[in-house]
Amino acid sequence: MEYIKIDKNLSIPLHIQLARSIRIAIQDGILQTNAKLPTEDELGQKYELSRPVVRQAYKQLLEERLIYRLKAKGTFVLPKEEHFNLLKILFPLTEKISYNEVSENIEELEHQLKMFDPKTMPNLGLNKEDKVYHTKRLYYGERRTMFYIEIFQPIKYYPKSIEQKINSQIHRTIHVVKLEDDICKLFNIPDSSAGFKITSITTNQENIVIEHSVAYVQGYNVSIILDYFKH
Amino acid sequence: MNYIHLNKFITTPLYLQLKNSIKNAILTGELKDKERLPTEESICSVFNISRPVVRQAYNELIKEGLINRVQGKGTFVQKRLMISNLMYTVKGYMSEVEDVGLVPTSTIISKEILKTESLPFELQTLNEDFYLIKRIRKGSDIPLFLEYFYLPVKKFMNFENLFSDNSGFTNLLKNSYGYDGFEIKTSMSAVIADEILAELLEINIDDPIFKFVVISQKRENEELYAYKVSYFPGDKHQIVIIEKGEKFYGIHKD
Repeated sequence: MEYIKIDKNLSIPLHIQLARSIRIAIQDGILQTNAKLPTEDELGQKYELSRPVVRQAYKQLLEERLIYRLKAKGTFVLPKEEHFNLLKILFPLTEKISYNEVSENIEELEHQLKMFDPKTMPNLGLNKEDKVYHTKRLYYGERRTMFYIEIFQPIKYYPKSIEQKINSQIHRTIHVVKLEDDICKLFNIPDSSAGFKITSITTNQENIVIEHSVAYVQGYNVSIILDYFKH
Repeated sequence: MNYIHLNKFITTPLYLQLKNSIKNAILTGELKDKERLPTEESICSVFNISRPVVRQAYNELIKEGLINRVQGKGTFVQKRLMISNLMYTVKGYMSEVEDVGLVPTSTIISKEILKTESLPFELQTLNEDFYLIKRIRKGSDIPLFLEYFYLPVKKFMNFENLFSDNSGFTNLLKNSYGYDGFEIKTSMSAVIADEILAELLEINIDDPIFKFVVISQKRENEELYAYKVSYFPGDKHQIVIIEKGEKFYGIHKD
């Protein structure tokens, strides 16, 4: 249980500290697939944690699908497949990028101002003299690379420096595809794995395309929680 | 253009008739992937309809991701087809199938009882025997999607006899077994067709498929009681999500 780090002097709630320790141990491979987690009693004795604290931490990890429970046997590390709420990440994604905040789980591979090229760029209704920002990014999930995104933004629709509030409509289309080999390499998964291709077209009130992005989400051992769609 | 059927004497708007004709032709495979569609002018002259009618039909098909327009080259079929909202409303999905003029059917293809070791991982932990019932949904003989229903035998005695080709799964659980007030967890993943899926869905091995898993559990104790897997071939399906609102946009500083 050395991987559990609890510091009662911190202002961080204990259940969050406990959940975080276990999460990190799973991510780092200290806790392997199907490894048994300590019981409420064991944690209570060793770290003087109350049952509700342990229960809350485990509940959180169960919801994150990092662990599973067997009746009368205990709690274990859930194998392989990673589940994530794609839509929760996806919806604010373009926004996040626009904010110019490259957070630690996003790696920027390219960000360049280019002349519009109808051969290599999507149909943005632009002329050849127009300039487009072309951005390529990798997005990391908790345990693995989750998706690769390419974004095209025609610069002429962004006259006001860094950020502005725009009344927009985003039209997203999700396809299931066999991923190209170079994308599989980025994800470090076997060639020709299945994945999702998400095309997002953002238009402003004048129906002009102000952003076009294509994201590839890896489907290898990853699944998407669709609670977003719940009525 | 013989896949286009327009009838000026019915109340269905012409653009909708045109749109549905093309949609149907794509779904049945009459129009192939990347095939070029007739120009607006040629449809207007052949069917004696106005330009805005054609434009509206094409624009809607573009929005639904069924076709795309390439500047200076024309309009082309885009392989994957629009059938959204397929995650939770089979009913809505089926009415969409009818809209494009296909006849929906639902047929049970097998019923068996599985021991723990042959079950999907999530069910193995329950240590119980499960029914596995497979059902295929078609639209005029074209396989549209496959459903695998898993149910614990002990709790759902006689299920294999009660469940028929056209049974509503949730309704049957509610009406015949009193399972109600449940919680559903849905997840979606991308998989590649193996031999069995390829044969049942009449697609090629290794073709991409949407896989949905729906887990039903009792609200009070999270006890799992039903597990359903659906497979939707990627060449016929896509999901469309539209989001509106005020958002911040911007680009980087140099």
